[in-house]
Amino acid sequence: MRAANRPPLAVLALSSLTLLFAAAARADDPAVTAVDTPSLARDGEVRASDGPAAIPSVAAADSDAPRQSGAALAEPPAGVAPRRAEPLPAPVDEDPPWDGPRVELGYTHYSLGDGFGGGAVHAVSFGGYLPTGQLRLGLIGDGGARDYALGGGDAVLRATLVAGWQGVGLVDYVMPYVVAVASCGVVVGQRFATTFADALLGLGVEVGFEVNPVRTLHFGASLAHVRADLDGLGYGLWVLRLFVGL
Amino acid sequence: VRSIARVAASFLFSCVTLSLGAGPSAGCGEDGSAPYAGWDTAEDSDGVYRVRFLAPPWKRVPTTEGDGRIELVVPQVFGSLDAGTPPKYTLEASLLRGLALPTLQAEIARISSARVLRDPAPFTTLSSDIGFSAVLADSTNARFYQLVTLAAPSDRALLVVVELNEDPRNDLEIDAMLRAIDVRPFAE
Repeated sequence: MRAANRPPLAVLALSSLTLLFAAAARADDPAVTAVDTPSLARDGEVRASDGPAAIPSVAAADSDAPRQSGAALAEPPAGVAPRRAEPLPAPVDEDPPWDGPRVELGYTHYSLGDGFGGGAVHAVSFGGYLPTGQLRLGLIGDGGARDYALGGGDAVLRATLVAGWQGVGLVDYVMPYVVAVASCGVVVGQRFATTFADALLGLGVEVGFEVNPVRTLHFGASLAHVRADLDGLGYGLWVLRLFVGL
Repeated sequence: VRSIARVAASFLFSCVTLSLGAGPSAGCGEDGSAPYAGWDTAEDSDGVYRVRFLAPPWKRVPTTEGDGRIELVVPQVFGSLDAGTPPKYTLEASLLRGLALPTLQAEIARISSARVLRDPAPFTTLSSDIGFSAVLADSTNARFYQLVTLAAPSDRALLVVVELNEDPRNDLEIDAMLRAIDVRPFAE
């Protein structure tokens, strides 16, 4: 009984072949291809590479925009109805610029002379400043190594408080600033096989600039003159800092 | 053009501010970048020679008044407590009759248990005092010795003996300390 209800194999095979031939014929027809898989190229042409979602709307087809293959859209072959494109999503506003604190990662170099030809300090700095308009208020920490000409290097850790003026909006993409700096830190090392840790204190002035090419990404450089005290000895430090931040 | 002018004005303002900030602060304290900044000077009781040392870690040990000796040590310490063990470094300076080279050779012979790592060689201080230097190693106490003799007035020689745990041939700090010894007439 069940076998009698089944369509004959020959009918199934014929139906399949018919569908295959029909599909092949549609694939060979360029007009049909243009309608099924168009895309809007940069110059307004419709190209066959993107999905159906890119089909121009009817309103768009009536516009004065230059068309080439779009002619095929105007008169679709029978049985192929142009589909309306999905309405374009409402333009999404870009995120407003970050108006919170800025952070920076940088490289700091200065010379804390040891009296024997050494003393160069190379340090990594990390810090930031608050969004306080023309008032620049920030904190920077740096840590690095100090070359000692007569032995192994010293470790230097420093925290610097900066406060001063910054030229917000003064020049496009560039923001100069002048700040007072106050720093404290510690130098740890060995002299004659004996470990020491001395406080490093400093006061000075720093000038610098930031270049702000896009959003909050910025990079810049600064030069500071800091009068520092290390274990009762005075140093006039010229502190160079290169940084990049967000 | 206005932007460039603004940047230029800002730069000039910054330079003026920087120089104003740097100027008054330049004279505070002893310049730490100067050679031997922060080092102390010990002078013998007769004023014939003087030795520079960094304190701490070096400490001057009191000696008998008028014996012409200077003794310095770097003690083994834990915190502020002296460990009581042999110091990391000792430096003893004394004036002896004789010339620099024979005085050095006599001192090498006196430390009979030590072997010579570096034979006596000419030695010159930063103040152009001339003498000789040798390095010894004593396996009995695992200590090293650097001996320096310098010509001193009145047919005398200044003998300096540094005793330490490491080979002084690679110790730039000891070398800097010995080269800072000054024998009268003192260099300015």
